[in-house]
Amino acid sequence: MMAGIVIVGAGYCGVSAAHGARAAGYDGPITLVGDDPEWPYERPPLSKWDGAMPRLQPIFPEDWYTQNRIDLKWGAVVTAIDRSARNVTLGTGVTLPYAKLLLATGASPRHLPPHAPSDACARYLRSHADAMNLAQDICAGSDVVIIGGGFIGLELAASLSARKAFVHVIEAQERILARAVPPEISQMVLDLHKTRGVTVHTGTTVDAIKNNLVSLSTGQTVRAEHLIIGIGSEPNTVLAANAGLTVDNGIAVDGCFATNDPDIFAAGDCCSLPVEGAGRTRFESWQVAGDQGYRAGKVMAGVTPDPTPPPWFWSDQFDHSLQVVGQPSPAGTRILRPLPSGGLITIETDDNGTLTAAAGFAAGNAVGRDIKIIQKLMQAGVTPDPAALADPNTPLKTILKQR
Amino acid sequence: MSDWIDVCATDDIEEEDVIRFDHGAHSYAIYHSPEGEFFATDGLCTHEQVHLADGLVMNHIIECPKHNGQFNYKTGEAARLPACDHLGTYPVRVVDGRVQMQLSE
Ligand SMILES: Cc1cc2nc3c(=O)[nH]c(=O)nc-3n(C[C@H](O)[C@H](O)[C@H](O)COP(=O)(O)OP(=O)(O)OC[C@H]3O[C@@H](n4cnc5c(N)ncnc54)[C@H](O)[C@@H]3O)c2cc1C
Ligand code: FES
Repeated sequence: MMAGIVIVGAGYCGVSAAHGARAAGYDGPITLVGDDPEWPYERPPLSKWDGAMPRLQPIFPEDWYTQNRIDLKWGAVVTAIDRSARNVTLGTGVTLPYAKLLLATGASPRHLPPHAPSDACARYLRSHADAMNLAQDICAGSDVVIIGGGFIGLELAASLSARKAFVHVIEAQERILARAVPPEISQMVLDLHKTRGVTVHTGTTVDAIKNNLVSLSTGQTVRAEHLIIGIGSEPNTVLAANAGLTVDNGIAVDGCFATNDPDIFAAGDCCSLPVEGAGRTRFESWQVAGDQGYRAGKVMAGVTPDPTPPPWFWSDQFDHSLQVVGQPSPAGTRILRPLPSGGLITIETDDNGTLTAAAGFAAGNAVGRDIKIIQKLMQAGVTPDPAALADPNTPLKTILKQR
Repeated sequence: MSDWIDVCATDDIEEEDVIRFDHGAHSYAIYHSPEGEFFATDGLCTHEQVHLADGLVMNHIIECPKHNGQFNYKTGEAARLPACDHLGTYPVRVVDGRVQMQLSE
C-alpha cells in the first residue's frame, strides 16, 4: 500500500485535517483512525441539551468521507508509532505506513487527584457515551454536585437544571470562568445561573465526600446523588511521548504544527503552540481545533496556510451565549461596551491601544456580530478610538470600514 | 409563478448589510450588496437554525453569528464549516424603491 497521510484521532481536528489536505489538492491516500465507537461527531452539543437529551451531531455526513476518499477506521485505536519504519500499529496488530502523520488525539478530562477524600463514583464528560450516561441517570429532582465552575460544568449545570435537577456548582476560585473571561462577564453568568435556580459556591473547596454528602470548606454540606467533575482537561500525549516526541503542556509543535520529527504533526486539543509572553499554550476550543487541523492538513499537502486568526470560543448558558476572541487577561485595560439588549462586550487593549481580546455575553446571539468584527480589527492591528468602542451607537463595522 | 411579495424600502437595508424578513411560517434574510443589489435567502442557518440576520455581511458572504459558518448569499453556497448544507435563494427585484421577493411554489 502506498504510504499517504495518516491521522490519529477522528475528532473535529482530525476530520478538519482530512478536509484541509483535500482542499489543498492532495490526491494520495488519507487514513483517519479514531477510537470512539461512534461515527465522528461534534462534542459541543454534549453539554448543551436543548431539550431532553444530548444530541449526536455528525461532523460531516457519511457520504462526505466516500466522496473525499477518506479511509475512516472508526472504533480503531493506534497503539504505537514506529518513527524509523514510518508506520503506526493499530490495536488489532495491523500496521499502517505513513508519509506524513498527524496526531489529533485530543484531550481527556482532568481527574480528581487519587488521594481526594471521596467515596463517591465521580463522573466525567467528554464522549457521547459519557453524555448519554448522565442523561439516563439524572432526572427531575436528582441532587447533583458539579465540581468546577468552568464552561463544561456550567453548561451542564444549565442543561440539568432545565431538567429540574437540583444543581450545586463548586468553584475553588473567587469567581467562575476566572481563566477565560473578565470579572464583569463572570458576574453576569453567575447572576443568570442564580436566577435560574443553580446554586454556585465560589471560593469554595471540597473537604470530603462521604455517603453521598459533600462537605464544603465553608462548613456547609450538600447532597450529591450524582457527582460530576469538570476541572479541565489534560492533553492525550502518551502515544507521542512513547515515540520520543517532545511533550510540553501538550505535544510541542511549531507554527506549522510540526513536532520534533519533520514528518509528524500535531494539532487541536492535544498540542501546544508557543505564544509570546505566555509560553507553550493549549487552546481547547472547537474553532481552534478545526482551524489548526485544517491548516495542518494543508501543510501535510505541501501548501503553506494563511496566518492563524486570533483564537475564538463560544459557550451557551441557558438561552444566553458567550463568545471570546483572543485571550483575555484580568490585568488588561478593558473598555466596556454595553449592548442595547442588556448584554455586554468587554474589549481589551494593550498600552498602544491595539485590540488584544474581547468577550461578550447576552441573550440569544446578540454578541456574535460585534465579536466577529473585533476579531477582524485584531487581525488588522488597528488602534480604534476607545470612546467609539464603548459607544453602542457607533456600529463597530464603521470602524472596520474606516481603517 | 407565485406573486411578488413586498419586503421593505430599498433604504431600509444599508449597503453590505442584512435584515430579517418573516413571511407566513418562514423566515428569510434579505441582503443589500456592496454593489447596491438585493438578494434573498432562507433566514435560518442550515447548521443550527439561528437567524442569519444577526450575523455579519462582508462582501458577498454572510457569517453566522453562532459558530461562524459562512454562506455566499448570492448563490446560497455554504462557504465554511460548520455550515455544510446550502441555503435556499429566492428571486428579488426592486420596483419603485421597494424590495420585493418571489417565493418558489
Ligand atoms: C462537553 C464538551 C463541550 C464543549 N463545548 C465547547 C464549546 O461550546 N465551544 C468550544 O469552543 N469548544 C467546546 N468544547 C471543546 C471542543 O469540543 C474541543 O476543543 C474539540 O473537540 C477538540 O477537538 P480535537 O479533535 O482536537 O480533540 P477531540 O475532540 O478530543 O478528538 C480526539 C479524538 O482522538 C481519539 N484518540 C485519542 N487517542 C487515540 C488513539 N491512540 N487512537 C485512535 N484515536 C485516538 C479520541 O478518542 C477522540 O475521539 C467542548 C468540549 C466538550 C467535551
Ligand atoms: S448555527 Fe450557524 S454555524 Fe452553527
